[in-house]
Amino acid sequence: MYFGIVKSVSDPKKLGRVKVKIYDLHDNIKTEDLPWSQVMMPANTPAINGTGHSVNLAIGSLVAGIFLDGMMQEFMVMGSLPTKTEGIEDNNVRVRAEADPNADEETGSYQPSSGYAPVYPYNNVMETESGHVKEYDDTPSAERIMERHKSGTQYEIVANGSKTERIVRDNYQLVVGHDTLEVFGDVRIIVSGNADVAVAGNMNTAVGGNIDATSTTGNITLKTTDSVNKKVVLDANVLVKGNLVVNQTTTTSAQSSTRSAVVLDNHTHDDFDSPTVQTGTPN
Amino acid sequence: MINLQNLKVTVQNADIAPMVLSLTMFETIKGNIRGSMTVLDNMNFMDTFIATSHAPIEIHWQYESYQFTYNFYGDGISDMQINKLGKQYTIHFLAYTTMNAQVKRINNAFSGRSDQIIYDIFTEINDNRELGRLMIDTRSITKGKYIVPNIKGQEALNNVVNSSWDNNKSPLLLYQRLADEGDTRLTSLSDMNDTEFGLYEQNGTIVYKNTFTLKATVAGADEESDGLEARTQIGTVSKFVMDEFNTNFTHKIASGYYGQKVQNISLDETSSNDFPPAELTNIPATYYKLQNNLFDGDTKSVFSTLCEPDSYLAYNQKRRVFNHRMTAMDTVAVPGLSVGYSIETDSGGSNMSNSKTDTKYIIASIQHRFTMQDGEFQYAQDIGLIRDGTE
Repeated sequence: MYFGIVKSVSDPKKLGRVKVKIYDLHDNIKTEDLPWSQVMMPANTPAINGTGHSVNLAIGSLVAGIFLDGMMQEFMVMGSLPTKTEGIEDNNVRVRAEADPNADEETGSYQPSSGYAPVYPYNNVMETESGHVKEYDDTPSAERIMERHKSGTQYEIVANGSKTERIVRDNYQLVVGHDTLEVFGDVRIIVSGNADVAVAGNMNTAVGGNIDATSTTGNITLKTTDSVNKKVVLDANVLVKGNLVVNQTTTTSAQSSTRSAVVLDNHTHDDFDSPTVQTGTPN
Repeated sequence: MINLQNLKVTVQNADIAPMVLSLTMFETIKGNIRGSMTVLDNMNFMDTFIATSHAPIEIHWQYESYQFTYNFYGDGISDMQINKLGKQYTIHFLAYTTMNAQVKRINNAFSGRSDQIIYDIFTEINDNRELGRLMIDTRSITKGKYIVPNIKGQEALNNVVNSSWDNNKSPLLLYQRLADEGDTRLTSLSDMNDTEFGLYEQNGTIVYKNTFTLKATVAGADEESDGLEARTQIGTVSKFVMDEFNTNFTHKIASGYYGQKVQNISLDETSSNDFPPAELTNIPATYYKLQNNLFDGDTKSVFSTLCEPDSYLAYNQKRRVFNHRMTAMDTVAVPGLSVGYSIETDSGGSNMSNSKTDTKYIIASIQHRFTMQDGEFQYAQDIGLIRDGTE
């Protein structure tokens, strides 16, 4: 078994091969002269027909392996060794169960606190060169799954099953088919900017209790763009606590065959003392 | 036997020839010259000799019209007998290039034809061009790149030599001849076979021009000869000994000496190549081939063809040539005769023992023996001869 340092990962054949400078054997060999070494992958990688995993060795990785030939020309990497390179721990900070490296990041006003509380050696972490992270933390009573983009966008599932999703930029979701959100408890949506809901078909809102629509600084408008054929229907008694201003004609419905519809703007009443005389129209 | 003349053995600038009882040098096509000498030391020279670990030793002698000077380095003392008057012991010595090849390590990248790589490695090992020169008799057709992984120079040289062959698919050998006085040679077996020894001078006169023949002493072959006279004739062999003729033949067949049906597994492309037998037998053999693109670009490893049939043709030739080994014992020394030449034998003369073993051989080794006899050094050679037992 020999040990060496990965010097190049830019395999021209894109087979995941790396150039390894093996201690003692390649001390005087330039990187450009080093052979390309194949990397033995774990058995859960089929490594055929485009399936399997990528080789994630990086320049500087300490690796171990064997030579496939007696002349020691073809080296095969059998694994990497996380140790300490130039005084810096190679093993991931989350694996070592040190303080959450992202604890100081900005959080939302209602964002639950992270369930990050790993204990070595339970946290299974994969972190890439740029800083993407996957965690499968098996720490007893603090089991978590966390997946994070280097920008800070991430989701976390904590021990009790609660999930927190944090997106540091825009979010977009496309559902080509149908979408269903079923919530047993309450739903709270906080929008700091504007909110637009566009529905091409009907929009039905079935509410078991009250519906409150409050605008603190603006108007509330219910309208249909086809004012000739379509209506805004208030299908219940209407309580107007403020003034009621009608810009157009106000007409009541016909109440019987003998009582026709009334136009509020110009309607008259019978004179009580003289039925044949009508009162004047409203001012 | 013919006596040696003007033997000088200089160890650290002191001529110890008067102390020498016997001296032996061994040359072989498999490597460098080495030797030993037994000395009677009545002046406590040993204490001086061992002052340095590798004392320079220069041996000079004259035999017939030939003069030789050879530089060695001391490699220790053994078998010392000590009494009140002095010591008798054996001094071992080896070639300058052997010493360097064993001690110096190579950690470098080389590219080109195999013979060029051998030259470059050899030059890196031996920084004294006077004491370490390489003569290339045969160019290889094998080529590529070799990353020498900080191993002994000798090991690096062997790796390339053993994976090289010429355009006759004949293997290369790296060796020293005593006649070359320190030079190392790179020659293929086929070129050795074609290099017939037959020319040397005696008192300024060319004695032999044709292929030299080693002849057995024919004691009593005729009424006038008792065989003693022949012992003063150059190249007269006291006894021919057939050391091997296809010994362990079955084992050799099974081991693929006479051909293999090679299956090459390429790990970088997960492919299998089946090669038909290139020789007599089809003993199956599976090998894992080096990656074709082990390095950047189209550069291949100098060992990339090591598992292919052409390589085994050469490799087997090198193994088979030792199937027929014979030793010409206690030969009246032939001046200028060295390993890597081909000669012929006349082992039985007109007797019944004459057989097909009398033919052309390559000289694989020579033990040169200088033995003190009646105040003079007699020079005898034990000559190792080889050829393919199937020929």
